[in-house]
Amino acid sequence: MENSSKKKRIKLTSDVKQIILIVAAFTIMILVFSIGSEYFLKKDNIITILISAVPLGLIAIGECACLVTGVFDMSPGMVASLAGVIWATLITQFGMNTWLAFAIALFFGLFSGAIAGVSTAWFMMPAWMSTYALMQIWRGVIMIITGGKAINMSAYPEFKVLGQTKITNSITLPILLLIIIYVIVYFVFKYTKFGRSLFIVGGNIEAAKNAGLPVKSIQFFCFVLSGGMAALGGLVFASRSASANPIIGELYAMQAISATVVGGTKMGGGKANIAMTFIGVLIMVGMQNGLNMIRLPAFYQYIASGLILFIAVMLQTSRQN
Amino acid sequence: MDSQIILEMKHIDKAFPGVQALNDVSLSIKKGEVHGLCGENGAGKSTLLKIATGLYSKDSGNIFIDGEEADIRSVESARKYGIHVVPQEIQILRDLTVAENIFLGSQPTTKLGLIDWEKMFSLANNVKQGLGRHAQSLNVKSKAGDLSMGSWQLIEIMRALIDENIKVLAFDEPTSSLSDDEAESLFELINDLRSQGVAIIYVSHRLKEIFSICDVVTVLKDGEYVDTKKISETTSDELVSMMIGRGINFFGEPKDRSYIKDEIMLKAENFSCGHHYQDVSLELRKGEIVGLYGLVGAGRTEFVRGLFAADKKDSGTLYLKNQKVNIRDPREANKLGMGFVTENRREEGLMLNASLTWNLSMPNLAEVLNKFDILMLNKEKAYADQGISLFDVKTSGREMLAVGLSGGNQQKVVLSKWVMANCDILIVDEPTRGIDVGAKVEVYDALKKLAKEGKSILMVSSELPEILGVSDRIIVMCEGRVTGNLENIDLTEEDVIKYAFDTHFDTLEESGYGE
Repeated sequence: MENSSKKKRIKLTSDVKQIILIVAAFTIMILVFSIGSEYFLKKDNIITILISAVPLGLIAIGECACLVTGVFDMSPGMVASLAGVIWATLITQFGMNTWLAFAIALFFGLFSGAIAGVSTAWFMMPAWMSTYALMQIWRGVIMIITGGKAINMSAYPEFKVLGQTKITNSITLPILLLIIIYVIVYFVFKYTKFGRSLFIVGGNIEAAKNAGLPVKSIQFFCFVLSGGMAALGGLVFASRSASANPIIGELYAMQAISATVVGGTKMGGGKANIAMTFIGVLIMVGMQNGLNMIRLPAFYQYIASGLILFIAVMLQTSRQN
Repeated sequence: MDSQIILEMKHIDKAFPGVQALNDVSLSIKKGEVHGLCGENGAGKSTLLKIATGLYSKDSGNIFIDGEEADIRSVESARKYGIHVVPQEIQILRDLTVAENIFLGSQPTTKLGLIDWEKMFSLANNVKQGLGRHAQSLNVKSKAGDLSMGSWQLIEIMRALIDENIKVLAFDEPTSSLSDDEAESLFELINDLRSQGVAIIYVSHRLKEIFSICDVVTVLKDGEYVDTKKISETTSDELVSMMIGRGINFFGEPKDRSYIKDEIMLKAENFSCGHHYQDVSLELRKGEIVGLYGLVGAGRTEFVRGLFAADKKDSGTLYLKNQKVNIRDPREANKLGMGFVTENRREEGLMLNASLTWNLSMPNLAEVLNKFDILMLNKEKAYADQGISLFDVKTSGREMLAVGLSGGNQQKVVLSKWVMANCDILIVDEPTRGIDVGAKVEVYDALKKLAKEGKSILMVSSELPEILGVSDRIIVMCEGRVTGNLENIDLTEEDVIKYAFDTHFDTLEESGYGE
């Protein structure tokens, strides 16, 4: 009894410790860059960071859901790109109504997630492998449609509504959208049967099966969520930049995984904190922005984001041992 | 035959968490002798074998080989002393040839360090020629995956025989997955090896085999040495009576049979699945605890997993409360009021890194949802507290992680989880495995309490005293079939265990071994 209550105290502090660690890393990053560049903490730059955090933030939600159930989704970057390309192409080539095209592009994301979900839940394919294959397929489709060139959409004002509408002087619609979605997802994770089921499947899939949970549909909808979030992220990005960029998704999958892991989501499943995932996203985007601010060449950003992921994973596994 | 002692184990102790697996066990094996090791489930025969062959390390005691003390720390070091084992679970790389499988990790090489295929095949053929006629049809260049189980076992044996200094070859339940013909040729092979002076340790609970090939037999019981007998001077009845009478008695209050109602809650008819179990039928009444006993490999766990639809079955009809039902997966079983406490509670029953609250509400989230399908966290907390108090789980609170609980308390959480989910029929598989002696009593009391409240319990157990101490009725399985269905009134261990050996007894009597 005494022994077990001692154990609990240690466990509790390790959860708190993790949050402290993440927030500390975030604070240090802010400190370092604000010393390195006087513009880093300017209001305009903070808004810039928030805006560029939107696509990654949305994609990270889906990735977080996947990681909670114990699988990786490697496809969201290309799903995001292709969603943007589909949206733009349907408008420019087929003269389709902007919002109908938007709905079709979003549906594509859900469809892609459904393929990943079926392959994982029913065909028992390793998720990181099937989604990696899916990513390559979408990459090919993007290149066939665009020929590798961005589709300029600046002539279509309706296209820009989603990404460029201003709520206040500085806050734009995407930022508001991101915050609302994070609040909803926080609620879904904590208070709904689906949210809890994700954690149970990731916590112990055999126990979940024996407990009568519909494990396969949970895995399926988890990927559908991821596909949908990825598409939405890509659409917001396309609208904001008024172009459908074929290569913007190259890094999103890795960055989303990084942000999620940096945010303390347990690899192997069962544990996550969606608020910390948001901090993880801000760390990834802030790092990129800060390195630009202190005028380090873009190539260093690869090294930085690689190092962050490496250290985050190392901290997590060393804590488990 | 030379009667020189090759392997001598003296005063071996070995403990696992919560159980003393071996207590001061000694054993001597002579050259050219086939030495049988017998005992009930958990008697320690496999543990002793694993210590001799380096798979486990002993806590204390000494091992002597040819009169000199040996320091066996690993399978490799045991092999250096000439001690080899043919494990129960045969390990074969299916995509490699027979010869490669034999020389796994010790392939002969050329001067350049490349594998010398010619030499490997010819060495493998040499080993094969030393084996009996049954081995001669084996082509050392065939792919192992295409061959039969008997051939795989032959590969395991040849792996041992490439050691020219082989002294001891141990077999752990070698016939459990062999056909009768294959078993027959194995016995011929063992006879050949015996005449070549190899000492054989033969672990089996098939008494017929012990009598047909062993020279000497040692019986273990509860991790302790009972006796060693010459096979010509003993009978199967004597061996069985040496195996039973295990000295544990801590079953708390005796089970009150008056709670048993006539209503049949579960009726299984003719459940079959491949070679795992055939034509298994049983009934479970309201308020009844039925113990399902059998030796390891009798197909009990496979059957109950088929019952709960956790694994597929070939055929069989299930009636719940006299309604025919067709259950396709655990989810449907669960909806019909069946709960399954698996034998691996850590792997299949609990989320170790989640709170007790989450673990308890897992199969019954519907209970803590409001009408908008939102989880009521306060209600869930109350639900968890109720589950914890149901069996008096010793914990610092519902937020404690399951990993921090003792084995007994973990098991109580799993039981509680199902009871809270309103299951009327509980299937519990080895409910006290790996649990401290003291905590076992609490699990037994929990089971009895549930039966008293009108639940029906089907308990699989390998522990005979446990089966006798808790069950109202005992069903015995042997080699995939039900061989006994006994009301537990004044039953002794002997009454039950003879059904677990049942088929062998018949043949023993026919062949005259029984007397």
